[in-house]
Amino acid sequence: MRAAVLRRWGWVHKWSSLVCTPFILLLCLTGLPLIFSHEIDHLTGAEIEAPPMPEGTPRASVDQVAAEAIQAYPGLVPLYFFAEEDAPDLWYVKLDTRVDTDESQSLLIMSDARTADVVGVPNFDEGFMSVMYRLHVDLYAGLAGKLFLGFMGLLLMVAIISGVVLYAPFMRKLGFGEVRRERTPRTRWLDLHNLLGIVTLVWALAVGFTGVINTWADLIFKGWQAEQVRALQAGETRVLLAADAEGAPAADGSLQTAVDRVMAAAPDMAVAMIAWPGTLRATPEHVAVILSGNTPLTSRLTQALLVDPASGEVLEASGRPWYVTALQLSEPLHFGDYGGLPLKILWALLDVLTIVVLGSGLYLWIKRGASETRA
Amino acid sequence: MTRIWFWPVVVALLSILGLIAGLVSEGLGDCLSWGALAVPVAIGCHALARSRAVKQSLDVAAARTANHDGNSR
Repeated sequence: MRAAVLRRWGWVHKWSSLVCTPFILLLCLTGLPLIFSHEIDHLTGAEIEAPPMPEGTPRASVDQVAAEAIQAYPGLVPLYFFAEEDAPDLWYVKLDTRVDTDESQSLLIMSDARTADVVGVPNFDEGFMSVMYRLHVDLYAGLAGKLFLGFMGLLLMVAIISGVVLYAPFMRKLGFGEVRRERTPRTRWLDLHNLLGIVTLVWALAVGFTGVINTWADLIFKGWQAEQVRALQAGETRVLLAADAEGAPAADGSLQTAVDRVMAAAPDMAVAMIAWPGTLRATPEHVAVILSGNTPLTSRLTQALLVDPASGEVLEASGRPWYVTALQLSEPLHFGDYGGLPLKILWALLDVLTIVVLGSGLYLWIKRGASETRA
Repeated sequence: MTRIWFWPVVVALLSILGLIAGLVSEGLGDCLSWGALAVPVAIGCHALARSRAVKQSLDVAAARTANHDGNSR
């Protein structure tokens, strides 16, 4: 490579890294405990569990659960019901003052799916893990903070790619994995920076880029909602269960019947989430029932069906667009939560190695010699 | 060129395999993903550990030389 071209790549690597390094270091450090948030909550007893009951205890209707929640928190309305795979007896219920808020004031409670009682309020808003989460996700600055961190993530992509371009010229006289230990500390750290950078390359690109996509989640769901509303208005819907279809409970305006009709229209799927009419995931007139499949991949790729509680008609307004597929695949690849505890440990070790790459990069810049200052 | 890029490409392909295997299949896929992603981790940790160990032995050698110089003076 010509010296001038090389110098330009060096400039790109230096500045993209220098700008994003403080923030990416923060993301790596706060992300480390977040990898194990499930285990940490379990150990510290922050996890809320449903009281034991005999197996096969019938479940309360979702309308009852909603009514109990509204009674316990007057002035709030339910937005979403979430089902967790490993806590089948609980509903996570998200409440807010209105259905169409930005959720900055929202409250998440947990309700017993069998008795409809409010079991507790998970302590997401205070404590160490909550601080880690907010610093990692939005720097306490809402959507602006998310998009800012996403931009830093894009700079990291530039830094990684320019780093790969620079890898070859630095390695011309070195074998793979060779670290010149007998030389100055700067040379030793340069070799380590290059080696650790190149072996963590794919992981860092994957986790970095999926993190960037996750920062766009709100915008992605807004886009999908607009698309569904447009498809509904244009009549471009696929009716999965007509209002007068046989073999399904007749619509009676209740939410539970609406959900039951969705389940009748989509057997072999499990309810992951129920979105009230008017919320970001539904439409003004329809309840959205988000379904997940039962394989590792299809449990991530959800299907959203709309149901009109009054008529009982079940529709698919628009199939999952590619950008939602991208977002849903990005989540596990960012969190590292799809391969049990061993994968989480590997995720943590790769995170630590990335911290060493960032730290050594900073050190190399601080200790830059006379030759580098000119470049 | 081949000499420089052979191992980085192998590690990159293993990483891709590791990231995808656990996502598409449970059980065997998980094991495959642990094994494949352990490769970059092992190379990285090994290099760090060795670099520290050699640095310490160099420091000890340097201290000894300094001591020796001091004694002979």
